[in-house]
Amino acid sequence: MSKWYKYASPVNLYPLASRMIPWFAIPAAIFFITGLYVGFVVAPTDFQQGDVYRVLFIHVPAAWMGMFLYLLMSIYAAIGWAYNARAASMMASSLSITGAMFTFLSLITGSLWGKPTWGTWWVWDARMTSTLILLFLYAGFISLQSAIDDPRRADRAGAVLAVVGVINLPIIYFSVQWWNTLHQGATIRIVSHTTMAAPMLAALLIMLAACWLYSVAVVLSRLCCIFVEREQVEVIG
Amino acid sequence: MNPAFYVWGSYGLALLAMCGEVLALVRRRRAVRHAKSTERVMRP
Amino acid sequence: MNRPSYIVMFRWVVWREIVLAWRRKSDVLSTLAFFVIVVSLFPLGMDPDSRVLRTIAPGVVWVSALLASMLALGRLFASDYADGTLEQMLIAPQPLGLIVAGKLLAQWLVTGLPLVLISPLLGLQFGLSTEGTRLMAVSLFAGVPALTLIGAIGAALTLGIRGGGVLLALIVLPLCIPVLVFGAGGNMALVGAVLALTVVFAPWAAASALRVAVE
Repeated sequence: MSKWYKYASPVNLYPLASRMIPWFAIPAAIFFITGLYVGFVVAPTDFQQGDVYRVLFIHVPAAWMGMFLYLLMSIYAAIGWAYNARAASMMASSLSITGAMFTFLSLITGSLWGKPTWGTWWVWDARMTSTLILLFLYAGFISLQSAIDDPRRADRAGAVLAVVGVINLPIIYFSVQWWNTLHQGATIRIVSHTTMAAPMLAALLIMLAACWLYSVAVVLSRLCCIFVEREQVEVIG
Repeated sequence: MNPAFYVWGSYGLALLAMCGEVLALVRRRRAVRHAKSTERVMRP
Repeated sequence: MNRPSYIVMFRWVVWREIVLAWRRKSDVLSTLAFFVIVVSLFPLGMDPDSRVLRTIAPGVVWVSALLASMLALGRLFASDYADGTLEQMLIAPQPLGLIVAGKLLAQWLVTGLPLVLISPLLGLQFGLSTEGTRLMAVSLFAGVPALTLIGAIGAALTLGIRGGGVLLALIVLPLCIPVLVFGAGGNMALVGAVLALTVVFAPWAAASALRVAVE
């Protein structure tokens, strides 16, 4: 177990991370292609929503990745702060950008799914509003880190904000749910996925795996950049 | 509007976002390598 | 550390803040003026139909109170940071959280409470019923302290950073959404619950943020 501690140091983590990237990037591409094939060719046309429901195969994974990466970002930031581990803090910074990208993507695809389904580009329902707030939380974290020049202060300040944010997140979700039921009465329910046909579920899961593999590859790649930029690692030649 | 528009739009934007992120990362890597190759300091 | 010195320190911090604020009354009054102006902007931006105004009143007043609190928060730690008092507070034997709590109580008394007291007049502007005005004022009374508490974390994090005011608002406003939603929605129990949570956690979180900013 103790041999893993050497990877807390950027100097040791850099080569490992570099080698790992293609092992995630190539499977990601394969999973994306497979997922799109299953989602468009194998899965049948939904009799209620026609073909538009296929947007969900990117919308739902993007939304989940947005949330999951925020959680992961907060954990790494907290570890970096608590153990004074720079590599963990840099991991958090790297995660923030990909997480924000997925959250933004989830908002746009959600809007593009909502227009043909409900008739409007934006609906102030609990899910979309919560995703919007998550984007704001990402924006705050990224802005705070980029506004602070001293990298150690930026790491720690980001950690405080991320921890406060992640603790606040359930309260925010609950408050948005409450607000939604207060003002709408009959809530608009998104298609219940428990009655999804097997190919649809398969496509969803394959796309989710693809997004996850993509995230690992991209985040590790960015992490290596951050290592070199912060002069934690020297790249000779 | 034609439902295909929404589907194409979504996946197109997804592709744009992800390729954009990868491209930005590639550029960042190149910039970093170029900057660091001009200093040849050995550090532990 | 014994109890009396905690209380003595707390009272001293609160008193000092109030005295300093009294010397710079314009800061306090300008926050209040901002609050009133922003509230008045909403009817100006739309058709001031009395039925619509009555409906949007709590939301408008709440958002304006939120924005006014954000502005006032920028001053919370800035002057102490500039003249070195903050460093003294950091090395004081009493817990930093206690000192922060004292500053926050004073901040609320000096800027938060006036917002609450003037809100019934604003309710009048929007043609809110007596019951509606009472509900709104009570929700502000319970909610504005929570806003100040949460905002203090942001104020500590953005200490000494260029463009701090806008950055402070950017990082704090999403965190204040639950208070806004419960307050404007008129649910006192939920506002109270969030207030209780923030009273317990926010001073400690702000103290941690201060250490990050100063050390």
